[in-house]
Amino acid sequence: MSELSDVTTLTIDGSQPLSIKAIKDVTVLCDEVEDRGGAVVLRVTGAPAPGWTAGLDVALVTKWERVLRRLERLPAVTVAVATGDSGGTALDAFLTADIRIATRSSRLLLPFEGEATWPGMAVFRLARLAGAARARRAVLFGQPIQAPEALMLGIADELTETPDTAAATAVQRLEGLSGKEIALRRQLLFDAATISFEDALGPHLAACDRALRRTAEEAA
Amino acid sequence: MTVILDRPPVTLTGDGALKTPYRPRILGVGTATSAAVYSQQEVLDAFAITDPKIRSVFANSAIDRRHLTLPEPGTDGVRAPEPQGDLLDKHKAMAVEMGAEALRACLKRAGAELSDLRHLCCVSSTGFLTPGLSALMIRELGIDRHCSRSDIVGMGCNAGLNALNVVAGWSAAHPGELAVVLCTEACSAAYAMDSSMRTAVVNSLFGDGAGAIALMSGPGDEASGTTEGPTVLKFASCIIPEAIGAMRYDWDRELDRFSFYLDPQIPYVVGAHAEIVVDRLLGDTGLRRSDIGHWLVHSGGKKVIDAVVVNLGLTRHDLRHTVGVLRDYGNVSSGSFLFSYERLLDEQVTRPGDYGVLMTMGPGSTLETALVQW
Repeated sequence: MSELSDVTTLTIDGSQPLSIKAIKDVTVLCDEVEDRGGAVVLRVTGAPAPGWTAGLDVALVTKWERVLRRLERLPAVTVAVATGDSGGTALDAFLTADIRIATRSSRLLLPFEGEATWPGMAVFRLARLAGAARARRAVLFGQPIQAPEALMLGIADELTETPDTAAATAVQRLEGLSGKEIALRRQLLFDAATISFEDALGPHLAACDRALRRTAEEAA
Repeated sequence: MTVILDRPPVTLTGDGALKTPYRPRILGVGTATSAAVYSQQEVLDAFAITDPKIRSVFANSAIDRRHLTLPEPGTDGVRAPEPQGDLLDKHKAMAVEMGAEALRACLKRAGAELSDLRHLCCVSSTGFLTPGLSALMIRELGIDRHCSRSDIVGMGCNAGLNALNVVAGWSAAHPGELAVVLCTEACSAAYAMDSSMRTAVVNSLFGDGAGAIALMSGPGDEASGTTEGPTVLKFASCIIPEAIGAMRYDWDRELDRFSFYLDPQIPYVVGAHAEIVVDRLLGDTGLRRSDIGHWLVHSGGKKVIDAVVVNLGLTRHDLRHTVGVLRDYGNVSSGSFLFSYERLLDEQVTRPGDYGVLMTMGPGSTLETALVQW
């Protein structure tokens, strides 16, 4: 059972350039949650200022994308709350969460780098969540996604005026769910977007068998 | 800018860890197959199999092609199954031929010569031989008559890791001496054919193949002839005695030959034990499952691969080689995971410090695992 005391919280400030510290913060969070369980709350806010990529190289970006993927696959429920403008690392982290909450006045921003938007994996996640057609204006032209639009596109699950309460309520609502089983179903969801019914059938049957065995074990 | 994040430290004091001054490294790998390749359709046509149920098993196997050594067609163009005696002869000839090729390729990749070989462990389950394959290989290749040897027979698809476990111990005890594990399986010599689903499943699955890996331990330079192979750290096993009859290769009195049996439930049974054995392998090491960068799992069949992916929370990318080897070779039994290992090396994606898990499954029913580090 996950209780509120088991929540691991991390604040990600998108106004700060991507750094080793940001990668380490998420790594430590993942370590703690994998070792101890519980839920994750990500507080994300801030968008990068012009010139934010100075000193950045693709090796650092690789590490960041890798740890984000680990965050996205954690055996835990993850809740993200966006306030104000969220871009860069804040947007990246927001899009990895299972439940995404935004304040009504918040905006999601793909940051500009020179003459176009930053082409990191937020682009991929936006397209997966909202579809290429509806992610197009944000990805191609950097047009901010306003909170109501994010809600309509399914990029945000709910809008709130009280982010902390909304996050706590979301975590509470999911109390008792198994993080490991959520991770399994999440993977089935990811795969459903890309593989055929025939290729998906085997993993789904294996997951059903796993669920049946768990039920039988509980009964015994 | 170079970014180095700390590798998790590994503790190797628990059960199954190699607690020796020198842990063996894998220096080279080589694989070989029989010459002829068949699509699933071509196999069905070769034996004039028309039963839609059997054809459907072949079509849904996730196998595109396999290397097989089929009997010559009769005057009607259809190939009749060979008697058991011919199958045993075929096993002997094919296992030695493919084994020699895989062994040579392995030594070449390790930068070693046949004369460097100090221990040869041969693994096979697709036929029975006395004297065993190690003796036949030594004669065939002119290996030194004083070469130490062992044969692991009848353990099935998992046997490559049982062999690696034992030979890793030999290697740790003999620093600087080259050992090779050679898995050579002539699956074309281990079929039985009737109109049952039992034989249809088996006949749709297996292919001929051999894989070899070379090991050496040492204080330093002896074991670092190449830089591409990992060090062997630990093993964990899990046998499921209640499923002892679920996978077996035994005598079928009606068909008058050996016949392989696979229980339809076995993929799920294996999947359900995958977490148990991996948790045991990583237990006491300080490693989390997410610290494992490379997964090399036996290409047992589509269903068992799916079950392992799901139960270990892996991605399709994690098992890309397992799936790719099944697609291109079928299940080549004990050597399958070495085909995956070779593909991983060829990708050149492993980095020093990376951890890998090798996993094989087979009769017993059993799961065998090894933890390695690049």
